[in-house]
Amino acid sequence: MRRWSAMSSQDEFNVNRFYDHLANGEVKAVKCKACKNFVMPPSSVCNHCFSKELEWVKLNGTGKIISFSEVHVSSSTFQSNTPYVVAVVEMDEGVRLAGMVKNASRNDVDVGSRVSINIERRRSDKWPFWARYYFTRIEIQ
Amino acid sequence: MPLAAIVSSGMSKIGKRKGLTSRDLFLEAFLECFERARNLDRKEIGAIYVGSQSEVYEHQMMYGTALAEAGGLLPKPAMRVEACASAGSMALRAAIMDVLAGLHDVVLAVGVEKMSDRSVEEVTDTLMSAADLGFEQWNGLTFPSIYAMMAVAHMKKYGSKEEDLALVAVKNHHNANLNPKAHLQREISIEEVLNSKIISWPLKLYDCSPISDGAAVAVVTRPELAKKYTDAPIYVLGTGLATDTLGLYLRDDLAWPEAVAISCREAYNMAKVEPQDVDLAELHDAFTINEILLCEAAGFAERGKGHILLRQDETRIGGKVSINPSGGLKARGHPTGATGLAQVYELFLQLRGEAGKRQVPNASLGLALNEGGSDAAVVSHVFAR
Repeated sequence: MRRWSAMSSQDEFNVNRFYDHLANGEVKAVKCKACKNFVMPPSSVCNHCFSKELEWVKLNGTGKIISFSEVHVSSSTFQSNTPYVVAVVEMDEGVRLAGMVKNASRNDVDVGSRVSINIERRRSDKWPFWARYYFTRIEIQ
Repeated sequence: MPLAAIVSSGMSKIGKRKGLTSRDLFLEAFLECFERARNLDRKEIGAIYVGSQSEVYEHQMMYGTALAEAGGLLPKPAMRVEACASAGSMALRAAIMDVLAGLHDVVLAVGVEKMSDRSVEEVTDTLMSAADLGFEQWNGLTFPSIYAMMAVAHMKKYGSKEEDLALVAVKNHHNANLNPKAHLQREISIEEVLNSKIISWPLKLYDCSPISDGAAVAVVTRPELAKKYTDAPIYVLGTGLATDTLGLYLRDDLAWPEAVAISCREAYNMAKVEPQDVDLAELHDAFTINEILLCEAAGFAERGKGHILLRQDETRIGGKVSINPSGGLKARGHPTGATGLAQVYELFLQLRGEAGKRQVPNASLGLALNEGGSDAAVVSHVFAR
């Protein structure tokens, strides 16, 4: 029953598991043991080298802004947050994420700004029922 | 030998077309296309390919069947193709592939979208389904914010300014004001753009294409059959299609749309032309920044210097390369699924010398560059008269 053993890794490495880890209070990313690249979005086969030897790596939770914007018109889901800052963030381990930078305006952030990730563990009551993450600035001491 | 010929084309008026449906908009374009072609019998159309972005706006799928029905083309083979805003040129590419494969001699490519019945929030949300679900949609990004992040990356790296983005809008509004079918037929000033409401900083209302309704069609044939239907066909010399990461966040360089460069290179090589041979181009300026990025990746400006070409006014009608003489997505309008074929309609008129007040002088080689998502599915076509 090789087919079913393949199914188990399919179930272990995908975006739903990323958000399960998040709901458990951990930010983890899928890394390929063979070629050492991150597999993003999380997936059961490495899209760089096609290996199935994957692992979840816990991230230390900090990174830097690659680019950003300040959203004034959003979809209805996020309307109560407007205006809000969004950013592409490169985590210290090298994996990229995107999301909101809370408690900041566009004047508070820049390309290269350091941020840390925060977790809202409570799952959404709407599909796809995931938890959420967001970023906050790391104040320079 | 060209890949295929386009022997006729039609386009509805683009705009907020209240009270009309996709079928009505399609028929408006289809009838114009029919009146223009000589000796074209509806029964000769062997297949129909329909580009449509979303089934959400009209709660309607099966646009292949629906439009074949509306056009009296049943029971001909008809299918919908989808890749967000590049659906229209994907329909054209499918039609070209059909003709090249020898399946049919005469094929209809259609693009259509009826968006304006929905609220801005609903449209924003529907468009957002073209982004990565887990890491972009779920976390509050919007399409304007995705392009805004490309703009910020370009500004930081190359020194482009918000005023440069405004120049795109001013130019394209000027061109659209010469286009009787354009959505926004009005000149605007740099100040108006800069003072317009922020949508997603640094992009403001006038940096964004409007929510439009419209349809456009083209009839594709084998090159050797073209003269039966018109004295002035335009020929498809090259087609390119390239893909990139679904999410912008995974790109090494947010200010460089790699798939655009690959797609254009494929089309140029097939056509045996170089960027400097191109007289005019319809580029996918869904947001002003994208015209600058596409200018670079299509080879009209050096990497990082798209805004310089614009400042030098070399992309005006009659400049070194006339970009978006129709007014582009920005001002002709952007009925998402229809846009790719609206670009083809413009090049069809321009290469035949029928573009009226916005005619590009000596237009003989044109590029259409249409993309979906965040430059994640990029279709390019090279046309010659």
